[in-house]
Amino acid sequence: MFDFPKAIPVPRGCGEREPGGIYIECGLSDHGLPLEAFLVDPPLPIPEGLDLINKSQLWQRTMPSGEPALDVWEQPIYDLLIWIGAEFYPYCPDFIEEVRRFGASRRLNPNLDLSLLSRASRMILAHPSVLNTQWQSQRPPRACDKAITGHAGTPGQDEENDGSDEWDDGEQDEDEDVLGEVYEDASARSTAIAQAYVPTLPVAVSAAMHTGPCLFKMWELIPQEVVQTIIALDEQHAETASLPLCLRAVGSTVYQYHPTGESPTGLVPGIFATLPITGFALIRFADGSVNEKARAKVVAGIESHDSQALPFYETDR
Amino acid sequence: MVQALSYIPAHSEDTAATGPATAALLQRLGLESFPARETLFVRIDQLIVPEAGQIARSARRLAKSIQHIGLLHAPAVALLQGADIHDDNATFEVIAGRRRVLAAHLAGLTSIKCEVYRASTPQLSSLIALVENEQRSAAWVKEVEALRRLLDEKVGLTLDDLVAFGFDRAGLAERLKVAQLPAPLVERALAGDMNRETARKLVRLTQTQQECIARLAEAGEEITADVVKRALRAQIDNGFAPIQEQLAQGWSAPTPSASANLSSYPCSQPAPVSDGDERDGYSSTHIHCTSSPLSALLIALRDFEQSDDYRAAPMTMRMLTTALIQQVQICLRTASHT
Repeated sequence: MFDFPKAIPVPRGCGEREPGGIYIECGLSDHGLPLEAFLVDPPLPIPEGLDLINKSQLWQRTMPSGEPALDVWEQPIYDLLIWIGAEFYPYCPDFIEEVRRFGASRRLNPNLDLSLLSRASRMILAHPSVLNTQWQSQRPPRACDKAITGHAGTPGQDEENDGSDEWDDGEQDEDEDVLGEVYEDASARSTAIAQAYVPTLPVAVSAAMHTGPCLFKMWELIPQEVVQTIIALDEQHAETASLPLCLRAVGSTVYQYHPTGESPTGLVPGIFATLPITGFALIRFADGSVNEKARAKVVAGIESHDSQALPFYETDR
Repeated sequence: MVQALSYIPAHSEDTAATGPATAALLQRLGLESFPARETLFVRIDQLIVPEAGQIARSARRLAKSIQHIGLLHAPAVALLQGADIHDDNATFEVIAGRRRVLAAHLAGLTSIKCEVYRASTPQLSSLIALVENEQRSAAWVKEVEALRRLLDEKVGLTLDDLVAFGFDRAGLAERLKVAQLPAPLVERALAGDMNRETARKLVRLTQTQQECIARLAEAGEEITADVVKRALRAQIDNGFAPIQEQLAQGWSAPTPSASANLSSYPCSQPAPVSDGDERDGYSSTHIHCTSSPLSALLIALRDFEQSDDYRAAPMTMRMLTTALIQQVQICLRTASHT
């Protein structure tokens, strides 16, 4: 079978992949679009009546007109609705940052009719705490990575703010020097590296200009108390207080963020991403076999969807 | 409405006789007839509850209501050891109602009323358990009726009150929602014209949708599972409309301002990669095939990661290194497709 993008099999926030499991993947590619293209910003409320908690399910896509959406072969498109549980990913950025680094890999119930999924299908992801109902009483985020007007202030203000921690062409040499220099002790290096990320609070925008809720505010709302490492940064900006750099580890992912100290209360369930599906991974048992029931379903999908079928592979992890 | 039971013949022909189907079933179970049964009070210490550990938690909840109201339905038990079911030293295995027996024990009861079978086989035990569940399958309607009555009488009863009394919150919450459906729909449920699955879907509809279905019921239309399913489907589709619109339009391209920003936090240009060396999830292809400053930085970080300095470094330093390696890797990937 041809090669196709795969998720990287590292231990994740939800643990390691289990023998006999079938996993749906959004793999990684040099030729793909940025993850932000697949994030839903602002997150959407979960449709009323949809019972999604811990129940992945297939959902036939319809056009806004109500007609079934069809793929290039005139076949109906089914999407996969997936709940990202807070027990493994307490904060939505935990999952997003993992996907950014290693791709998405979600275990599926082999009883689902996986043969309905095709290349046109998407994983529609929901998290219990992603829709920010308190956004109007909070500061706008430092940056909206989808650059949605009003999410992080006016466009002009966005540019101005982002400059504080960018590695743009003009700053790259300086950053390289900082990071490439040999430091006598680890803590000096640590401080130097951390200073490459010095953030500032966003310039306040008027309530009329502030739109939302912005998905990228989620990073700032992660409390400082839940991180493994906090690095206090030197005050470099006299006019605006700098925020601490926090490092949070979830599974194999370590990511940085700058908590503002604002309360994360008011976060409710919502849909935050619609990821493409690149294929299935069947995890082998110790004897080399895989879940045959699941395998039969993906093979049936290959037969029925032809060139639009999702590929699969067998792997030990 | 109260109706004298004398209007209904005690033994109509079709229920009294053992028909050929029942006889065939018994034969398959290795029995000539159903074993003799009596309703008796049995001491709790005579009862053996199989796999009690698995049901202990839910039994504790039930114990509360048994303490207040008593045990309303007699469990089915079969003689396990002893000369006779009236033998004081006999022991009985609980066939149906294990949770109730355990809860009665926890509630401090010393004896309970049971349907006592003189003998049983594993097959018969399974059949009796199945029959008992069948007899109780309509119980949800009675619960809805009782809840509706309590709601109508405006006694101010809350779900928390009932949970404190010993009810299961999740189960009762669902029945409470059914009881709060528009009156024409509740009437359908109470009349037995609606199965539980349909009722469960009905409660997931918005109030507006429920009222639409209620009008259909009032107009005399049959409220089938299919009708409710279609309404629910339409409602959820409506909620998905913004996403469906996005999907129909294709993926939105990254904005120019975001594209130019390779290192803002969080990185605005990810699209992670997986080709090449998957050591620790990183692609070495990009590290060695390019001489960009970011690649050099990544090599430096990797070298540091392998050094004694790294091993001697505090946790903060090591985490920061990992975070930076991952971030640079993302930026490199971004650079490869811009």
